[in-house]
Amino acid sequence: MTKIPAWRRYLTFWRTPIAQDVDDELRFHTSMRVKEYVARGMSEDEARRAVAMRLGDMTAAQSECVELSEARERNRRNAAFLDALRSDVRYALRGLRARPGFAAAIILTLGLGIGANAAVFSVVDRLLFRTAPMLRDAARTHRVYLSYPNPNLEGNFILDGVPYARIAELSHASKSLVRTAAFKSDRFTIGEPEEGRDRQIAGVTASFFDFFDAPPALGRYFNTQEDAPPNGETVVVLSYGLWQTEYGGRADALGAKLRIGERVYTVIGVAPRWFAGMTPDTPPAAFIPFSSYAASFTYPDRDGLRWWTSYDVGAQANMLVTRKPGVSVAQVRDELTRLTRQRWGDGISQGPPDLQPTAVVASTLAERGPEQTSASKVAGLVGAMALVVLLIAGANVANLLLARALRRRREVAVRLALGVSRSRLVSQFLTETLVLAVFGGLAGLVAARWGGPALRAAFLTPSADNTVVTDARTLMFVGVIVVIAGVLTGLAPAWHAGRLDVTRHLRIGVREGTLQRSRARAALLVVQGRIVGSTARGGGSVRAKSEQRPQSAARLRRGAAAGRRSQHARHSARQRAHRRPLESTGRVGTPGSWCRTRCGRASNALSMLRPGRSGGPSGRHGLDPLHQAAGNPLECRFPGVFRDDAHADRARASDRFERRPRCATSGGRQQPPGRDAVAGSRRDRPMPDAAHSRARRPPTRRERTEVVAAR
Amino acid sequence: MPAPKVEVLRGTLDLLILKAVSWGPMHGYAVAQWIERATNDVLRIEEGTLYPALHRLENREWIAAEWGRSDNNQRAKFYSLTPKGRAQLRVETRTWTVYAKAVFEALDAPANPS
Repeated sequence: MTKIPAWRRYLTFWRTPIAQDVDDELRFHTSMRVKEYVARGMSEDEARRAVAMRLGDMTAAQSECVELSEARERNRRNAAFLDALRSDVRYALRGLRARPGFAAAIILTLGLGIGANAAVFSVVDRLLFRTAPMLRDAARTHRVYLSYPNPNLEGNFILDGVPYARIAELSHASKSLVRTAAFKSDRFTIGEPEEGRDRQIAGVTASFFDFFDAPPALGRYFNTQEDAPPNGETVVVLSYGLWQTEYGGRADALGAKLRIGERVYTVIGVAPRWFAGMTPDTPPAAFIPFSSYAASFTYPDRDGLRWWTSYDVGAQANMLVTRKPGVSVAQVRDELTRLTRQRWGDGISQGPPDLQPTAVVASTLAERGPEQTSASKVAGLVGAMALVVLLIAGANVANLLLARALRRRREVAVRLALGVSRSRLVSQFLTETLVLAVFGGLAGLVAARWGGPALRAAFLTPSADNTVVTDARTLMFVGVIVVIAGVLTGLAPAWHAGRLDVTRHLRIGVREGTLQRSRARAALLVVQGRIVGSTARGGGSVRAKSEQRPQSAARLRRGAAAGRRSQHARHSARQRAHRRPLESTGRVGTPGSWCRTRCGRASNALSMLRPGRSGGPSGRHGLDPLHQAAGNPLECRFPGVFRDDAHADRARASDRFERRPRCATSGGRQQPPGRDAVAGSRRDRPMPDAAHSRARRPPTRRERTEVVAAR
Repeated sequence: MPAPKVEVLRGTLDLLILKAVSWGPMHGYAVAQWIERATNDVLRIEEGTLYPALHRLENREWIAAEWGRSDNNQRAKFYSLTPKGRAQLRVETRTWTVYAKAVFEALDAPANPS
């Protein structure tokens, strides 16, 4: 952290408003001048008048000073903020470097979640959200479909293509549209037959290019005359990619001849880079007039109607329209429907009167057409799955962070005691998780780079610009996710730091932290369990946990108990693991290593014990009276404390007790809540004294009911 | 009453302020006093330009301000020279000397300088 100049500290110390400061400064000046004049022999009043005259109007100077001071204050605040941010980030990085395993776990978890979302987003975005590049007035531009009543089945059937004749007619008659166009694409062989390649070729009307803000990179686009039925002119506009690969990007490509299908075309222009018409997924290699395109196909000749005049046997095309500003989608739909039906019964139309179509004005994206496509359905599902993965990852990370925050309570308490403000601490915790999330996002991008191509291959046709990492929208999406994930996962620990009870945690010490329970952690575990359960069919993990401890079935019913339960299970598993070698060598009951560590914890708690005061911090529940006498001198000296007020005391302490460490003293044993007295005493047998353990008896009925009542 | 004074040229005021506070922390009044005395009351300091100039210099971090108590125990803002300001003072002193010398030479020069 850079050193703050000494004067700035004074500034914050005084913290007088800026205008007041400037006023004070000038008033001081005036008073000094008056003194000076008085010293020269003027009377006080004369001096005042003289000074006022000398100074003249100071308001301009004053406001200038205030402005300058404000700018200074702003800069100072920004600098302080940046300083704080920099030191927070540095502190966070240092903390992560100190615990590389922890950091790696979080970064990997977040990375997977974010990576999955980035990969899915890059696909879903293209399929469902992103309009074609360079599209003008994208919000007012639509694709129009015709929906026919289905005489045999329920509902309508919607045709993708609209007859060219109808498009021409509607464009001519409609009053609510700025422009209309027809487009269609198909694979054609380009080049001479012996070296021809199949490429996607789009046939578009001349008006198609008006929909885009895309002046040609070279030459020009074709005009209406070149796009006139029946055959159109043989002119072609190359895509930028084809121009680069086939003509090396040379300007003399204009005028070159290119065979497309059966006819030879003349190159008249090159579309700009990234221009892909209305089909960015399958960018056309070249654009030819729609008339030339349609003329490449043969249509059945019926009643002398040709492809450009027939409604049913003519060329079909996708219809693109732009609404006039202020005209609603419904108005356009109604008008187009009306116009379509007007001509339905006309001589050139063959449709039966009960099959009158309705116009559907829909998104320009084919996948978001009037009917949900299978690709969009699958993409939606995969997206939902990815979100669930992110949720689980987030919950896991939040849990890890919370666990860490609980362990760091003493550190936080010390820093609070040293005078660090809570808001600074909170912002520091948030910075830490944000740093983690940023790293997670980077890891996610790497994951998406590897996993994304597979996904895209499944949904999109590969094309040159389809790389996740270079895609600005996906990057932006990842950025947003990173911030959200960082803030959400950081909220819980930050909140924890913000409401810490300083004195208590300073006094209790660091060792106590690990076993304390947090309701937030438990809730997170529960939520996570639910998500995993509902996604992985059957919630096996939750059930497994409950089966581990059948004796505490009553507690299982309590909602937030799941976290404790898992901790508990882990704890007892650890104990079992420690005990197993002891049992196998027949040394059950000798103070093993686990016993010693627990005793260490116990002595810590004992140092806090104030005998005679009810509600002292040592756990006294489930004390075995026989063991009291043998071991703990305190309990021998104050038997009444532990016996008489037991009921009231337990009822009061039970709540607190839940959050206290379980510990075993060498004499009076403490029983963790929910543990069966018999099982507990066997497990926690503290004394090597063989005679003593022989004298043990199962707890009386009364004692057992006491234990239950205490809960 | 003081004799008619010469207005301080814009641009030189900054230099004079820097020179004034180079002697130690001073409040605005003391700066004005110092300049007037140091120039034998020839230069007249306009308060309307002095204080904005002080704030501008403070924003450029050539001088630093600190609230303190004046000799007669009034709350006053004291300005002092920062290391950056000291360097600036050196540069501006040199520039000003060169400039003034050049102007003098021009004023003394004949109609057709060699």
